[in-house]
Amino acid sequence: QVPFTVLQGEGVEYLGHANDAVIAISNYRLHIKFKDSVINVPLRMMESVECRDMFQLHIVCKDSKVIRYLCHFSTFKQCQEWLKRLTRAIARPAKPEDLFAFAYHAWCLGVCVDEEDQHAHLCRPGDHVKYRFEMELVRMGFDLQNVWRVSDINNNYKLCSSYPQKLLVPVWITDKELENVASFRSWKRIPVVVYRHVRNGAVIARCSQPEISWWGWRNADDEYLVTSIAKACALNPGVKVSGSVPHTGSGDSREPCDADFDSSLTACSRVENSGTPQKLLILDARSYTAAVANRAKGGGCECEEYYPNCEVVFMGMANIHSIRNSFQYLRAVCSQVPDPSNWLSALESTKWLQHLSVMLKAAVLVSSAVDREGRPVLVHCSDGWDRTPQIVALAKILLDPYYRTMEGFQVLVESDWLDFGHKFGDRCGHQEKVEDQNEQCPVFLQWLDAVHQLLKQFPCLFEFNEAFLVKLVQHTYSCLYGTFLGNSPCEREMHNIYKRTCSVWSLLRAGNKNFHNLLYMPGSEQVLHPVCHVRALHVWTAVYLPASSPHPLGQDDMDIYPPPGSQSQEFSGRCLDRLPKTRSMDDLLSACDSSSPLTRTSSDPNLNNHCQEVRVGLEARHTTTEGAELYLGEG
Amino acid sequence: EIHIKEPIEKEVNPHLLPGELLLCEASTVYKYIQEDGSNRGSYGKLVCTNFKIAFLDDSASDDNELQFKNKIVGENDITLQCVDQIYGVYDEKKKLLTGQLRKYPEKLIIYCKDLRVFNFCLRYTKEEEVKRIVSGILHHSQTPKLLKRLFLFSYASAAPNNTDGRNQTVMFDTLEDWRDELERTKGNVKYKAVTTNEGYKVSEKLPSYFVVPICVSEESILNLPIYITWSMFFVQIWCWSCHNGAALLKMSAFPKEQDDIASQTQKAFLDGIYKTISKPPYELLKMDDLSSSLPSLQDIQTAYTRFKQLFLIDNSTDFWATDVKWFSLLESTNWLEIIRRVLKKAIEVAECLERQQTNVLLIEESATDLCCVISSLVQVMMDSYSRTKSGFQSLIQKEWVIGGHGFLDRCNHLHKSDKEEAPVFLLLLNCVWQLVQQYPPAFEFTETYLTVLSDSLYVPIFSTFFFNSQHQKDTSTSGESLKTQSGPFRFLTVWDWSVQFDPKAQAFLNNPFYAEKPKPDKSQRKTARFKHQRQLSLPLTQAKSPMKRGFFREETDHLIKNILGKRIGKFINSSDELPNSFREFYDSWHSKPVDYHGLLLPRIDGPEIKVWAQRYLRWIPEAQLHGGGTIATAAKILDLMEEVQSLQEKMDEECSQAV
Repeated sequence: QVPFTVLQGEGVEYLGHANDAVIAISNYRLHIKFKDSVINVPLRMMESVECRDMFQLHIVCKDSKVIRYLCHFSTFKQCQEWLKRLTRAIARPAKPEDLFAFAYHAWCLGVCVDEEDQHAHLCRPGDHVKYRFEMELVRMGFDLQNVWRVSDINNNYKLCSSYPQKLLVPVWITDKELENVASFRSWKRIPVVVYRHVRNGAVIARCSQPEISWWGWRNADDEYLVTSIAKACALNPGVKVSGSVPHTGSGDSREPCDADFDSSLTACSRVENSGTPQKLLILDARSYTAAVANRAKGGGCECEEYYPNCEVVFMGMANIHSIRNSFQYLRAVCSQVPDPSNWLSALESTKWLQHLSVMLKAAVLVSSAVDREGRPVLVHCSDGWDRTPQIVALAKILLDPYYRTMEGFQVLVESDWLDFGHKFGDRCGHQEKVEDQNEQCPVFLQWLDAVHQLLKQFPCLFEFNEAFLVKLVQHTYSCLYGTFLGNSPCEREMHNIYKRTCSVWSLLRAGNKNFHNLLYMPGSEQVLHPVCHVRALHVWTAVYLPASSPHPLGQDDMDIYPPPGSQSQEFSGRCLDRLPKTRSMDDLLSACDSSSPLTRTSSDPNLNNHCQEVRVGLEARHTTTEGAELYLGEG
Repeated sequence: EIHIKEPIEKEVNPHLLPGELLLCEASTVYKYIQEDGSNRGSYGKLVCTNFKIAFLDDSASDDNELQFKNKIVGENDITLQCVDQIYGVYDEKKKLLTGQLRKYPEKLIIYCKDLRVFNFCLRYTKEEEVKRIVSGILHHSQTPKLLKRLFLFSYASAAPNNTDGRNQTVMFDTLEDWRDELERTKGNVKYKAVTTNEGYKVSEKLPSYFVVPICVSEESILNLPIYITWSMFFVQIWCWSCHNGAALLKMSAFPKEQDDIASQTQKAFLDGIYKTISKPPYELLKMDDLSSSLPSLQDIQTAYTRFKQLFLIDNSTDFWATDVKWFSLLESTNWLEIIRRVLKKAIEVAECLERQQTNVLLIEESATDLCCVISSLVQVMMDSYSRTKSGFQSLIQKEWVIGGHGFLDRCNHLHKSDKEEAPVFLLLLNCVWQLVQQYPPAFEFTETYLTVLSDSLYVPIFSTFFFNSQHQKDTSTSGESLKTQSGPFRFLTVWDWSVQFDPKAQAFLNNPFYAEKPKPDKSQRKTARFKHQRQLSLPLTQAKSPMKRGFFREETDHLIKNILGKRIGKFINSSDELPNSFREFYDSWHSKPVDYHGLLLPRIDGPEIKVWAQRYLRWIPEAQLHGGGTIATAAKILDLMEEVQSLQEKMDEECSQAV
């Protein structure tokens, strides 16, 4: 009777028939099954539902899809009834436990006898994530004896609730001084180090804006800390200081397009002098005017005179309100799509790609300051939890091939986004009780879009494929996994979310072949120099326009592509609907396949859930490998 | 013998092709790497030959090996036909240079048709050298030229082409080629190849051999008065037959002013044909007057001129300034919109052929411009053979080269008249590129192939794109041969890719992801091509056709009346019922999985029509991706393919050993 296989912990709450379809609402999704197509959307993915023209359900999704469903209900009343049910279902939860992730996890545990083992498999994304802080310290080669130290001042989040518990600062900065600095920075988000370039020792640090206010306050400890970061870099220089051989870009000599002028530029502009500290670059993500305007609210920006050996640069990135508007325009434009008349100018007017371009430019600025000039960089915006992680995390991807692997990317998201308090709950609109639309903004989605642009530009340098990013977008909003619940690490710990929900990395784990980029060249040390002008940027069709999205190479083709020498199959392939085969109702695999909101749109049938793998384990793996081989064997 | 070796050791000499003559040169010319104010660049010699303008870098080192290199046209070579516009800079002011000059510029900017931009500084060059080189370049690249002066002829006489040149491409210059094509498409049931025009007895426009409805007798063509047959495609010329028997035909439109006798004769002639066709079982024929349903050549030329301007960027300030309003600039050129309209038209035609099983007759004034675009596109979409490299090349031969597209005039190779210029062939390549990027596995060739093909339009060592018609080629070939007494010229064809690229570079032209059709047996090449059955699963609205069959007579009458009355324009337009059936056809096809060997319809919604970045952005330094982009990807893919192949070989070896 229920037209889909329910997930663990999922219960159908309403089930009804319209003339041409079966419609169902569970505690996780809305499902409408037509004769030959399906609409399948997680409830939390929906931003709003309304009824238009009497009989049309108009659903706006947080990932920019707009679903128009003309229901052929017999009466208007019936349609209203469904609308009411749906509106109730997508209202913000009263408490975190109402989110489906908790039920899902609990039931997954329930069905398994070997509870401990199952829990480990479901929750734990792996040791590389669990011990990320320690492992990153080692990987990036911080000298924790003489130059840097890990401060425990934020143990139990007692200094700053939106920061991680362990903070990395120069060794000579005392906790007392840190406390002083905290009083001067918005939300006590003090400058701490998050990345070190192994080759030249330059670091990236992040913080929130200084609270200068109209009075022009200063804080000696803050000035001391900021300049100390540059000094510390000089004391802990890179491992290959000699610098006679340019490292940049030429790390892998097989790179065909790797022009020599790049590396020569690097060689001449880099000053390899470990004695004097390089001038620290303070990158303020805002425009100068926005930064000054913030003084009215008690914020502001660093004054170059008070911070010796520092340079302040403003990037002019728009705030969340502009980005939200831009996104809403983009959604509106994309939902009009079959009408092509003015697509280009409409796209331009959304400014989405222009915003992306600025973000990429900021990241390139950071990465070239670090890599080419060996300069330490301090990045901040106003609060340091939206634009700052965008820039920092992107720059880290440009600089360090580790973050382009699946494991590294998980570490990156966990540390730069989750640990440093990007407010996923507010931004994605699944925080309990809050109804403030003004806090919502697809900041993380925008960043994933930027990563997608990089992936498009460097198709051989990422271990994961586009499907990986698309899935991540979906599960940022679906609330099937607990990873992106809550606003800060403190909050997630308070609600014990790590223990009571599953991690999205269990789906997007490195072992999942569906998300592997077949063109990946491991071992390339190349620093990415992307082009960031609007001409080179693409609309992310797989997310914003999935209905018309072409199948990206190397992903879907292997599924719809008939094996060689099977003409009969080819024929039947035509008759099949675009429904991926994982969707057939009696298929166990689909039990966990929850994530694609729209069938026609879910261009990636690469779904593969951990549950399935627990049960059918090897079998699933076998099929995918086969697919990959087949794909390659074609030409 | 042409140039004497200078005693100076550092002297760099131009690499000259057979038949190439050094005309003038200038030394200590400074070439900017990038016009960004940084003045980075290098000194060298600027030379002009009867083939190209070349910059010979003094400091050039040979170790700078490019992965993808053209053997004929180097990095700093501009063939004379590739020069688009030349500007001179006088006191920081840019001025278009044409013809005679009174004052010589201090800087020379050369915009190329393949969208490269060269900046040469002449400030350090001797005055008389400047005069000589600038007027030489202007004279040889910008002033009208005789056909005989094309480098093509000097090259062909200096380097006789001894290669067979046939390779896999069907040239369509023999009767057999046409017969084979008829057989391949099963068009031979209703159409036949005729030899009436051998020696161009009937028309100079028509190829020596062509295909007409079986009912047209050769005598009836020969009996037509010369003023009808001489200058146009007066009869329906067959292009291609669909698996269901529906055919794609083309014909010239009737000139507006035609005296009564002429129209009467032609009416009688066409009437005769229609009478024969219209015997039961009736055939449906839909006419499409492309000059009324598609943008004019003028519009296309204007749009392209504006479009290409977006990529001929002088400096990086311009680049960033335009970047902000990039999309609206792009939209205002209208070029992408033209591509969309052309693709849409091709889908409409495909719908008629495939679903309505109706013959389609394309009509255009000359039947050699948009007719070629649409008929080629339809075949690329419907015939998977046209998506192989040799199939595509044969298609270009059939529809364009033999089909009589006026390459010489449309590319303005001889600088005879700007009015005739229109990027019709480029339009086709742009449309095909859209399909290639939407369905990469369906094509045996890559976008790089299309890009180098578009570049080859300006390389005058191949005859392919340097004649207006087959007749012109044949006459100029044989005429010259009397003098040289070396027999007719044997020109190179562009399809011999080894002339331009070594095998390693040629690998980039082939798509490693091509979904090659499984061939049951290699020896049965022809039978392997029957893609038709598979397409039957398409929604065929057969219910519709019988109902319409009765209309044919009427439609024909109507048609002749209209043809001979006014222009055909309004009547033919499919406007009444097409939009709906078109949308239905389009949507239903897109809701099904793609069969890479079957019918292929491009997506034409706004976001799907893109800029061919490889062709248009490749020279802009700001747009270059170090270590990324398509070439790096292609290289990686080729590596992978090699690895797979070697593994396969190893496996086979082990297998055979085990046995």
